Amino acid sequence: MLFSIDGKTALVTGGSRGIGKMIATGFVEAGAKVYIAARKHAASEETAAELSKIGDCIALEADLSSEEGCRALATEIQNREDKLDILVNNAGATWAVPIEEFGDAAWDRALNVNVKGVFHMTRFLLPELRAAARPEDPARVINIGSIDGLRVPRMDTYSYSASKAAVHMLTRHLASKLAPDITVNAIAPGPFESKMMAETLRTFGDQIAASAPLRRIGRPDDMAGTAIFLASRAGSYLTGAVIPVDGGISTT
Amino acid sequence: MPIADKFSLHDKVAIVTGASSGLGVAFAQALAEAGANVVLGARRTDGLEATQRVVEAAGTKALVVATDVTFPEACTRLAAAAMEAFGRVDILVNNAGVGTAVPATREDPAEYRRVIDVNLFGSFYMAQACARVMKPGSSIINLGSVLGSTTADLPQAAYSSSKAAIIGLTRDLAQQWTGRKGIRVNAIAPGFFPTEMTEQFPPGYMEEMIERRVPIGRPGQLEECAAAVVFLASDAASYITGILLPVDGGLLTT
Repeated sequence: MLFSIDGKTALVTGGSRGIGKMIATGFVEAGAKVYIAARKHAASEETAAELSKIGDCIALEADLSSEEGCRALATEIQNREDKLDILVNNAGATWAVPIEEFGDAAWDRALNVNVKGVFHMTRFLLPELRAAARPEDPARVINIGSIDGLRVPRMDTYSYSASKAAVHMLTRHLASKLAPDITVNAIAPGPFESKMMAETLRTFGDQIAASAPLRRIGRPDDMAGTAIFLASRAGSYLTGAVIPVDGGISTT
Repeated sequence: MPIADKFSLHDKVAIVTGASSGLGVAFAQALAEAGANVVLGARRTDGLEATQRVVEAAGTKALVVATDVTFPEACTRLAAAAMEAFGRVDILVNNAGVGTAVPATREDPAEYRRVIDVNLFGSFYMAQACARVMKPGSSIINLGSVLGSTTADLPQAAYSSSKAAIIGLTRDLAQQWTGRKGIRVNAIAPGFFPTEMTEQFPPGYMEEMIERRVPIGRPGQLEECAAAVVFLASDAASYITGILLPVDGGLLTT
């Protein structure tokens, strides 16, 4: 069962919508027990209720913009589980204002959630990840980077692009440190239907789709497919990889 | 479609070059286990017959075509044989490859040329032949190497430069064909896997490299490399094109 994650336990941060929800949905469909965490508990509850119709999904509340918030979510998991097979660090924040107005407020939230949040969640959950690791079936950390961390975006999202480049490097650094018990890889999504992308897609959707070599934006299964590959037996020898899932945009 | 079915290659047709040994056999087997019929190319047909039995044991059909990928017309013949037998080509795995380990000042230009001929030109000729018959939704997987992006203490000028070239070839063919023809083109970069090529390493070399350069702390298993090929060939990877996917136990982080 090369691509099976049946029976594994996963946490997907920011799992109530967008890319996190795409991954959570794929994991639940594939037989994993999935915790989703989001800042808005109602959104989390709603998604968990929806996914519980097809499998096992539990809603948690979390604000990952501070170390304490990360610790609180890790504790929630630790209270419920002795081991965690898969951690998907997906929660993210962006900010777009003209460069003249791009102050600390625009930097802090993106760096806190996108970079420090990824690091702290991984750090706090190390005991449960290590407890899940078996020889040739390591525990998995999957970080969500972005093609905006690979090539220069057109929008005024300086803290976002810098934070996502940081996620890619942090992925490689953690991979080298946490092997062989835990693999750490990143997915660098291109344009997908998410709340973060909604405004951009409304304005430039057709143009963006046309500019991708694959001539469309990403679909939920495209995101879930790569995450399942990384989380399954098939992905057990990959660590430190940054995988663009972008319809080829980063080649252009 | 259930998400698990996205990884299926049921009823697809795959061509694997260099299918008589090492990773090529593992690729053919994994593609067959995922449901694909497999067309096997290599210079040595004796080895291909063994691979044919591996594919048939997995429950799909195999076709053996003796092929030297350094001849464009041989590549065209291989693609034509696949079309004649199965009526389609969905997947190409450009696995045929050779290497040398000779200090650069002593490297024989003919041997260097041979490496580029097989690894780079062979991959291009096969891609060209297959792209002419492939339908939208098809997938080409080129074999790069971690040595396309790093070094590993052995003299590998010919091999490394051929594998670095594969990265550029992959990106450009993705750019040319993904939009116009709907063919995805990707490459994998294997690290250390036990094959005929690694058997030629000096004694102790592999152990030292694993210790020093492979965070996962062991060589890869052939089926772990094949799993990445099946993934890239499948619809689960349908938004992925132009990438280099390392399957290296973390070697490229060192």
